[in-house]
Amino acid sequence: MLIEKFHPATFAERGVAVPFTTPMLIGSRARPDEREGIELIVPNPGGGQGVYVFNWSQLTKFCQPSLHDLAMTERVGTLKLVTPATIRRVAREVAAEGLAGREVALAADRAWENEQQSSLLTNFNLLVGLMRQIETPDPLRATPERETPLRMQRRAQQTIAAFAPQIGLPPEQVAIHLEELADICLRVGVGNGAAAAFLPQLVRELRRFQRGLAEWAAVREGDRADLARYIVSEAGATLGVAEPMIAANQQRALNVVQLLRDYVLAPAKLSAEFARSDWLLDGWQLLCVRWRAASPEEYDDVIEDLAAMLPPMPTEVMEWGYMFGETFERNFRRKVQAGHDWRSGLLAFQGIERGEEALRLVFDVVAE
Amino acid sequence: MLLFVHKKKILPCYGIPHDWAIVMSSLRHEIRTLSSSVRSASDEQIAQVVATIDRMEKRGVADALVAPLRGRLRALAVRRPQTLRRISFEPLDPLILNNSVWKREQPFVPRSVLIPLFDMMRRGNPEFAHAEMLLPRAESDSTVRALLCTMLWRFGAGALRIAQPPHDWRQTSGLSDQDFRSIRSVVVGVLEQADRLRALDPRADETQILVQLREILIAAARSGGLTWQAILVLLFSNRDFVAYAVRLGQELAIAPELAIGLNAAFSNVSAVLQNRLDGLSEAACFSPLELADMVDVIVDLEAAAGPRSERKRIAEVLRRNANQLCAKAVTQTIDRELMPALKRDGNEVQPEVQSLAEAAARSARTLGLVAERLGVGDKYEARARKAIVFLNDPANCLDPVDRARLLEIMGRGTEAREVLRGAGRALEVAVG
Repeated sequence: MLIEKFHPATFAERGVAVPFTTPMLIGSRARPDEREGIELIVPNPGGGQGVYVFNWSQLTKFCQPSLHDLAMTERVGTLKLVTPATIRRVAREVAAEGLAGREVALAADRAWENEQQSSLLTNFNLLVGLMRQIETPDPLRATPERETPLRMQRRAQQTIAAFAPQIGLPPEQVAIHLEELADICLRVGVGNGAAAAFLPQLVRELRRFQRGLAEWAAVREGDRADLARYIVSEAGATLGVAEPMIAANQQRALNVVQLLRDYVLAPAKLSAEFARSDWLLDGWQLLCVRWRAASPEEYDDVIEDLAAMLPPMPTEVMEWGYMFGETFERNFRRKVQAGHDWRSGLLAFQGIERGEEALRLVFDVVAE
Repeated sequence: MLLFVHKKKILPCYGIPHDWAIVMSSLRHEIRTLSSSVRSASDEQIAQVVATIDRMEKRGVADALVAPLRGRLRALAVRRPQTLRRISFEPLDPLILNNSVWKREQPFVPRSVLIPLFDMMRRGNPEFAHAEMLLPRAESDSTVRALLCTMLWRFGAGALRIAQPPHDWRQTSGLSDQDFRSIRSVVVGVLEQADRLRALDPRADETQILVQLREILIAAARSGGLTWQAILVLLFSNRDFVAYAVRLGQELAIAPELAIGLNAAFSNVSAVLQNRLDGLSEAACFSPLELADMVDVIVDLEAAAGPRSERKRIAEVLRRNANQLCAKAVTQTIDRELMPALKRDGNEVQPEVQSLAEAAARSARTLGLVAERLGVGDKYEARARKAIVFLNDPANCLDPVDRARLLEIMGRGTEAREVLRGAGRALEVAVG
């Protein structure tokens, strides 16, 4: 079904960006459908306004997807919950199978190892934060980071045991909650490791992308330059909301005592509040890597892909302080040779190769 | 620095030898001998030879070494250092021919005149001194390069338009004053349109392209017959604009001399394309995308040739030659690149080996699409069958995922899924 004007009201309605490699599926998003599982939203492949919305299982009738995309479809189709985090996990698992190439599989493995380490580090930082708040100040005692693993473990147990009665939970339950909180705070980052977390890294990547695209557009005229400037302004508006939101969450995560209390009272609410910036920035990483994977000679051809990938902002984002600018009406026509993708001018299999390179960079960004 | 050729090795020669005439004569003889043998050199050796010559301050007769390699250098995409002279004549590149094949009253430029023409452009032109200062920055900054190009083309054309043949023209170029005037009209005509030609954007709207092309062609027609032909040849050899150019050319060629020029351009572009095909043919290894580009031009030219038998015949000859080259390239890609990368002994394969196989598979696929465009897709299929059969064979030592990917790249998506199914990884879309 073609929807000519796609203005989602909520992030759930907007869906989550799926890193497909098939050129025709660039900019596609998945969203839950109450009746029939999951829906796919695909930007109009003809380059006109609007999106196609259809059931996930109909993908092969829409186009001929790559092996990697078939595997993605298979796995995403079984998801009970469609969020940026679940799609990222599925993308990493599918990529690790090697269907997008060995280099992508290696990058996905590295990203997985990196995430495991980040999870441990976040858990450790939360524990350290809790110790700082609960332990009685003692200038003679070593800081937690300098403790031996055995002494650190003992101090952590003592801290949790001292804090647990304050929220009416057994110590084991507090330890479990800390682990769950680590998963929630993982992408925003906590304490010393905050800058290396996924979302702060993505913000820096988006800044670089915004700067690069603005420089490219500054010395050009015409429709593509106008489109590039529009993307730059959208990136700026997104960053304008995302950066303070991430900073506030990082600040909030420093008060572990309050964080645990909030979590015990309303775990879903806290989780949703921390996930906001992830939803807000969802899809931008794919634009950044698509731009990064291109050589300067290819920038003209990449702009159309970027336009298709641009995440539409749902109206609910206004509650978070997002200011909508003017919309940009795309109306491009282009003559290409038979078998070439009209957006990029590439042959279908070259487009897939470019998509695979972007996918590798998606995981490498996470692993950096 | 001069070159000294000894036992087919190029050695630098410092200082000026005593008996210069004897040395030059000897050098020319050596160069001739070497030129014939250099044709059989490997791609790497050729890149080395060219790099050595490019590093020389004064190339002299050593330039003759490069002459037989021009087409091949283009096919190999050998990166040459940027010089003001090279940038100045860049828009004319497809029209520059070796002196041995250049003929009078044709829209081409013999290579031997480039140095004297460039000297005329530069002499008394203060903008060239400015351009010299910009040159180092032009390598890395595309905006500076664009500015440099505009300066060189505009002021170069302006200087040449009023230039007279220098007193030593006959001696240095071996050409007459009349030749000077006809060559000058081609060079000036193209340089005057060079900025407009560069501004053509294949991604732009069709109407916009037609408007820009019309302006270029009308200006070329006003500049005279040879410029008209030269601009047509340049556009006819460009895959993005050939169809538009033929259409507009026919529309604008109302005057008899323009109609004659259009026909001549058709014949001349075939020489340009044949030259490029020869270059690809001589290269041991070339990008299949280069051939794909050329085949697009040839097919569009053929479609635009209409019922005129002479144009049709020209296009058919080109198609036949492209077809032969494609067949040779397919065999070479499958036998020398893809199959060796597939033969594995069952040990864990390094990612680089699979990458090589995938690169070869992509080349084969591109050539397959070229063959389809030429109408001989079935012949490609027959040549590629060996690799497809091997990839489908579960008894080979390849990992099923690697096999499936290679089959997918070669356009065998269904077989790729079957390979995965056979390995217990059926890709079925299920909805939870």
